[in-house]
Amino acid sequence: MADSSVSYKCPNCGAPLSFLPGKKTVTCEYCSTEFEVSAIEELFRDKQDMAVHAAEAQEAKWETENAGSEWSGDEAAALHAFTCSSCGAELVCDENTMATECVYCGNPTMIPKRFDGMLKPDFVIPFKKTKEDAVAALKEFYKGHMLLPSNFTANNRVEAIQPMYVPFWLFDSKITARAEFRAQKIRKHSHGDEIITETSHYNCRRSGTMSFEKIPVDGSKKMADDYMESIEPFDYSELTTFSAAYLTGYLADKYDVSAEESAPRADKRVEASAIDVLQSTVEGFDTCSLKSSAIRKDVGKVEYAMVPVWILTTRYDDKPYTFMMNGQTGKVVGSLPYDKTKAFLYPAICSVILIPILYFVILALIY
Amino acid sequence: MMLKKFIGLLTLMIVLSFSAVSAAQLQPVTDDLGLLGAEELKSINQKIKSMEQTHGIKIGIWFTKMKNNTDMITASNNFLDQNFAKSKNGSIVLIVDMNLRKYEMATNSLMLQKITDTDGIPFLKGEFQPALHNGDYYGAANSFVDGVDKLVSYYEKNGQPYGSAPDGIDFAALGGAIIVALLCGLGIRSWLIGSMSNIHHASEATDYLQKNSVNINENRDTYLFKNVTRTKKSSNSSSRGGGGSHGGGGHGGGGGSF
Ligand SMILES: [Zn+2]
Ligand SMILES: [Zn+2]
Repeated sequence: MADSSVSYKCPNCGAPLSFLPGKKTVTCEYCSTEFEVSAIEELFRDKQDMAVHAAEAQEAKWETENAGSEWSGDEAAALHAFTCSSCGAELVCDENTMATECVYCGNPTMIPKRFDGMLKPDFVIPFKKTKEDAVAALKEFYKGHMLLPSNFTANNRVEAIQPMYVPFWLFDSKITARAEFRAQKIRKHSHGDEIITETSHYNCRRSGTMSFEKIPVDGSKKMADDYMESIEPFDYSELTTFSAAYLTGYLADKYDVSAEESAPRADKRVEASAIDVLQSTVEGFDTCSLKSSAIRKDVGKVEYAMVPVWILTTRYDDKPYTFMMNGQTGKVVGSLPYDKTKAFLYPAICSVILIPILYFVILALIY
Repeated sequence: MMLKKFIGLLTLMIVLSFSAVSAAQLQPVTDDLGLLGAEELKSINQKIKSMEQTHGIKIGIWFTKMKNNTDMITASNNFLDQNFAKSKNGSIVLIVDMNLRKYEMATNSLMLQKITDTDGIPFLKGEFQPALHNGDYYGAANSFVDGVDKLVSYYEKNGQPYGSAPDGIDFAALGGAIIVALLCGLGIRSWLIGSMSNIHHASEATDYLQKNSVNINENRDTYLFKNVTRTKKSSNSSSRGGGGSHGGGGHGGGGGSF
């Protein structure tokens, strides 16, 4: 990292700054802004420091090898696996449960196969919501949407309601976050017939440590990431040590996205939140923007959990609509179709009503 | 001879009694300083009286010398209320103070609807102020009266005072209203369509942050530099008084120097 020929740049305009030894201040030749030499030196020391930390941060990895565990022989023997002949989904259930049709595509031909290649989850959040709860919650979800086609509720057929344990990686991390912010203090005062605006620029450096616990990232390719992020949050107080007994009566999806592959999704969220935390400590300024950041994982632990989800598939106008319900909290997520006529008509009515109002508002502002 | 004397006496008495009446009921123009000739005074009074007939209004003009610390607004309001208040369609007065070379107009609430402080009064100032400045007091009185005639006629014709928004459609404002309404419509549309889905990617992990684990160990603000910009203040100093602010009591008006 030894960068001996430090090239100082003007923080205001980016032009190269050259300064004479022994002088306390330096003036940019291009934008004529004056700086304290010490401030410029500090700024560039910080910049190099940040580069070192950014490199470190890149190297820090999650300890994924401890996520999940091996099944004992008895446990494995009691589990069955099925493959969907149509979409290739692999589902797992215990010996008392039959996989009759694919949760994802509705295909009724599920081919039994030998159970293997799946870690034993560390935790499970048991199902709390029943099928009746799911149906009622979906009905409730339809309400209050102005653009819903009038015949949607009547004509939409619920094709399948399936409960499923979805594999999730739960990321725990303790991080050291560093960030540089550019902040401004703006002072305005009038002098004679002029308004003088003084904008003072500051470089604000922050670093700190913080911990995140159990950021959930689903390990299923077939489950859309945005749906799985939308059914959050879960109540972790009900998180219990996994036992195959919880699978009775339910299907479980086998993870097909490894913890390593899922980690970037957790990293991105941690980074955004860590920067938010640091930025919230930049106080007393009028503006503040992020200049650079480096987030280093000091501890990065991953656990493997099964999370309950109700998958509701409906059909309307020959198109399938999928809704998901958090099997613990009952939160329903999904996208409803909208009536094109209503989507045109309602805003058009609003616009037509607004025209005379706005006309008189504009007249009142002119005269 | 006796008859002539008698007739003369009678005339005198009639003139005296008339002037007694006129003291109670002031002529439209009061000229304390003899700035107008007798003929001029007669002609302007006649002109005002005929106009008062046509419009059902009252107009008063007073050329005088005020004491130094007179409040011209109160003086003009009182002059109106005491002498010219009884009118069908409104009253207006103009006081010209030759002492400080100031003038003040006052309107009552009825006239305020026809001659607004924001547009009517400035219009009148423009009509008579040049003549006043040039010492042409007869011309100034005439211009004032003509100006009032114009403004009141304008009101009678258009149903609203001079200077207010015209009755016709302002196409620029209408165009602006349509554009803003369309944008609002598009905004409402995308909001309504957006409300059909609650599927969103999670961008942060704040729910999973252990609040008590946050430990800030570096907190350093370094001053870098300062930018200074200077902008001229916009010269928005014109005082457009709202209607009826002329010392209260539903009066309007305004004044100036000449
Ligand atoms: Zn510069
Ligand atoms: Zn399938």
